[in-house]
Amino acid sequence: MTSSMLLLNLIVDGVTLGCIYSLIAIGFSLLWWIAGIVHIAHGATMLAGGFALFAALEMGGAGLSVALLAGLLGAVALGVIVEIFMYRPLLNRGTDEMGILTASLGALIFFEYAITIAFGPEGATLDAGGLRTPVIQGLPLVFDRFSALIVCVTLLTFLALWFLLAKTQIGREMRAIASNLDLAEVLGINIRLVQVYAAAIAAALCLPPAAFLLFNTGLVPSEALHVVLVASVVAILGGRGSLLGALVAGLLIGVAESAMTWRFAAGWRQLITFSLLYVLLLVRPQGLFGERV
Amino acid sequence: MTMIDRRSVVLGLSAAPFLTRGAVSQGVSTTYRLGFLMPLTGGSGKLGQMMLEGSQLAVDEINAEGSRKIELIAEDSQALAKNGIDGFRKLAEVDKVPFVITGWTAVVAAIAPLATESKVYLLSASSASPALRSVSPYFQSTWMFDDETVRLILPYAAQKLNVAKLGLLTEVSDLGAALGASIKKEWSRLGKELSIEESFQSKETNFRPSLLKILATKPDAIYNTSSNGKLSAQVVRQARELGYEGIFLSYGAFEDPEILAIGQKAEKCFYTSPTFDTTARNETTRKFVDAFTRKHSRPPNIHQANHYDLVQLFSAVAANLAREKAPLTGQAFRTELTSKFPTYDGAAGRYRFNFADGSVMRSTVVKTVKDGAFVKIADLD
Amino acid sequence: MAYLAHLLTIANIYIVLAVSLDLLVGYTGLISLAHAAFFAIGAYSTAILQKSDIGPFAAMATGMAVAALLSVLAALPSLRVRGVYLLIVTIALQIVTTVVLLNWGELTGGPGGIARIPPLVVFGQPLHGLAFTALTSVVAAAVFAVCWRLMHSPFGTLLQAVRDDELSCLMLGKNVALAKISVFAFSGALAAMAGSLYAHHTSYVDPSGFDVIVSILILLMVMLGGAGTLYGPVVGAITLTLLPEVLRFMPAPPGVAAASKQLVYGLLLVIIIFFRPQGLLGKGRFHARG
Repeated sequence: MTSSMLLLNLIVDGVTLGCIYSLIAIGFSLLWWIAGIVHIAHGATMLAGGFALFAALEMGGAGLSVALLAGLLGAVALGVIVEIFMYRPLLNRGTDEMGILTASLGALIFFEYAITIAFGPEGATLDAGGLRTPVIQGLPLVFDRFSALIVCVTLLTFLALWFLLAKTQIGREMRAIASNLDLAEVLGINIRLVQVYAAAIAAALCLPPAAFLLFNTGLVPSEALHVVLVASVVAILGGRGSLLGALVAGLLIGVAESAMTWRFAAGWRQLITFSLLYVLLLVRPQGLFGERV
Repeated sequence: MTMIDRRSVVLGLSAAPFLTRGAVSQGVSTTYRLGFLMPLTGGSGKLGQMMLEGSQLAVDEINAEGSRKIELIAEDSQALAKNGIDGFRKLAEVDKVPFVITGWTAVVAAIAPLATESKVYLLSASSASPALRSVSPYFQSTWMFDDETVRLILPYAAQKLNVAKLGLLTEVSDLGAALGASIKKEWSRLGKELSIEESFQSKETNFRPSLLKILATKPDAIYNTSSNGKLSAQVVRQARELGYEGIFLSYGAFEDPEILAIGQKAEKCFYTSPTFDTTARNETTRKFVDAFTRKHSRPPNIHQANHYDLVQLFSAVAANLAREKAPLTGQAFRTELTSKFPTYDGAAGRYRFNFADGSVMRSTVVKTVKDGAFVKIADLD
Repeated sequence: MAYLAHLLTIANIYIVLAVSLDLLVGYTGLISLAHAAFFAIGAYSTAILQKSDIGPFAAMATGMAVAALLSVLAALPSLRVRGVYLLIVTIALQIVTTVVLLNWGELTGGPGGIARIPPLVVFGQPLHGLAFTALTSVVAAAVFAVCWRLMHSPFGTLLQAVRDDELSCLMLGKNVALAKISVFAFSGALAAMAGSLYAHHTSYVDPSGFDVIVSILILLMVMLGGAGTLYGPVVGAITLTLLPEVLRFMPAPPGVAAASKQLVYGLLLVIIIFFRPQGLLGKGRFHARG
């Protein structure tokens, strides 16, 4: 394999990694855009979805479609619970952004370790089995059907989300709240209800990345905080309110992390992500595609 | 000062017969405490828990005999230096144990100076880094250092497995660095060159970029230095998913339940291990294998045998000291062990100690994974 | 007894950390999750420089200086962004620090860290056990006193004004940027001093002792006790140092015990925000503004 072939393979692998980053980031971003909530507990909803899927599949002996449904229910249930029993009362009391963020961090830690106690600290890994065969046989390109699936699901998810936000009533209401809360209130939009929908959609968006991680590198409870951090970097890099931004930023970070191993030791990868963020916030705090801070 | 010392010695000598009589009448109530400072959670937690089963069996057997009581106090190191230090301090200062069974290079390196200072004797059957040579007069390994096992497996790989191109995947750690250095030295001594060396972080879960780099050099075999079963299993699985069909080489830590969990993908992995044969005819081994199988309904592995031996060795040294009416301190333990036990025959075979640098020699075999089990395929010495 | 001395020493070190973080969080309204990074810089400076012959106090001073300089890196974004953005930048700094500690093996010893750091020698006397506890108590008290004086000086008043209304401060011609940079540098230097003491105490440093979880723990100490009071963080530091030790002696399977400790921390954070956002001893509302 030539050096340039290796680079190509690293980039391809980075694209699939970046897709997972984008998917996690978009769920995290939704509550940030609409309710101004820095949803650190998003990591916990992802764990809930992933482990519900794992439990149904491995312990409950369910089929894949039933297990996926269980994962979806697990994630949405936790997302809505956190919204109704934590964010809502805190917002009602006028708790500021940092206060909500701290509570959200607390909720993440709480659920992370609750899952650790239930499933053990090693987390869960599943085998993608037959999906790990190359899309095109006989090429030195490492692009298997599992990676292809990740890319397709990511694109479809983003399309669906775009459709939801741009073309449906609830989507228009969400955007109205995001851009001007007071005006939305005047227009008679039920802000509380829309936020619950947003929380449910954000949680549902956890399922694809949770499943991909589960079948790829494994889902480890202690990774939750790190996953949310990467999501927040992607969200900030992409810019507030920009779907395209989240997709591009996720891919950018995924490819950058992966491609840098072409010349450097893999251990330094995270340096790329967080240095990018640091420089960006110094020079362009609104992100790549964002309009305002 | 000198006078008082001399007087107390004289007093001590004259009082000794009375004291011993007292001790004998107390009988069973003398309890020996030993510390067990191992990862019980985290990536190496399952392996640590397994090792605990071996030690616990020995404790139960000795307590059932009734001549003395042993209390095992377990602390979780998570294989991290920080937790290891906290755990060691508690064992040494609160529980006042004279002796600790421990393991993992990072933990041993961290607590060895404390052990020297507080004169607590450390025995390990699960640390392989040659960096631990002579780390403390109060540290003795019962598991061969890996520069020695490397000298055994690499010639085997070159001659018997026809490995010409070797890729090296090192974990960024003391052990990884030490192993990497001995592999490079030994492989060049065999007149061969490494095709590539890549490293990964101990908390990494995504090895695909590193593996892509290694696979691009088309190696016949990859030596993986990780001592963490979960990580090794991930490395092997992800390499197989990337289409690698070659060999993996490793050492004793590879024998971890996490490896078997990846099924067929773990085949074509070869590693060294001390000889431990569950069907051996000698009495110690047979007794241990029977008792373990009775208790857990499955046969024991090498790690359980090792940790069973450590407690039995502790008990044997303690018994000697009791006969000599000497108190069981870390210092007395060390003197007794180093003067009376140049070798020890346990359930996991013979240990030949080198007390000068804390190393050990044991007979070694090559094992592999076959049909969901770890099986021996050749003797190495 | 020796164990108790060990715990008290650790508590003293965390008091220095929590009090110095309170300068940022409570008084200036700048939330930082990079405090463990500066803690690390102090500890590693001592660990690395012990091999040279510059002496422990020069090593400590070097660590404090480096931490103060690097604190400016955290302070720079705080001039442009606040709240969540700042928080995430500081987390980024924290993670970059951990990555460097893990990977720059020649300097930091990698994941294995650096062992055999000698105890601190004062007037030719190596300090162990209770003697070292006494020293750290004196240091903690001194840090508290200095911070108390500083926060009740015009500088402290300026910081609180920046926290409450940055725009007005700017309009009054105050040098807000300089104030932010200097409080970051001072806070970082104090954290580094705590790190140096920690290294002498444990005789060993490795990256796991200084990761983002430790930063979260320090922030939790500040918020539990009451941000912006200085004595609140002292109470927070003592509580959260001793609490897990009590849990250690409770009968529970080892894995569950370690996890439940973290679980309790998470729950505590939520409960504080719900029922006592100003902390146990805090007076007003906790207000780091976004």
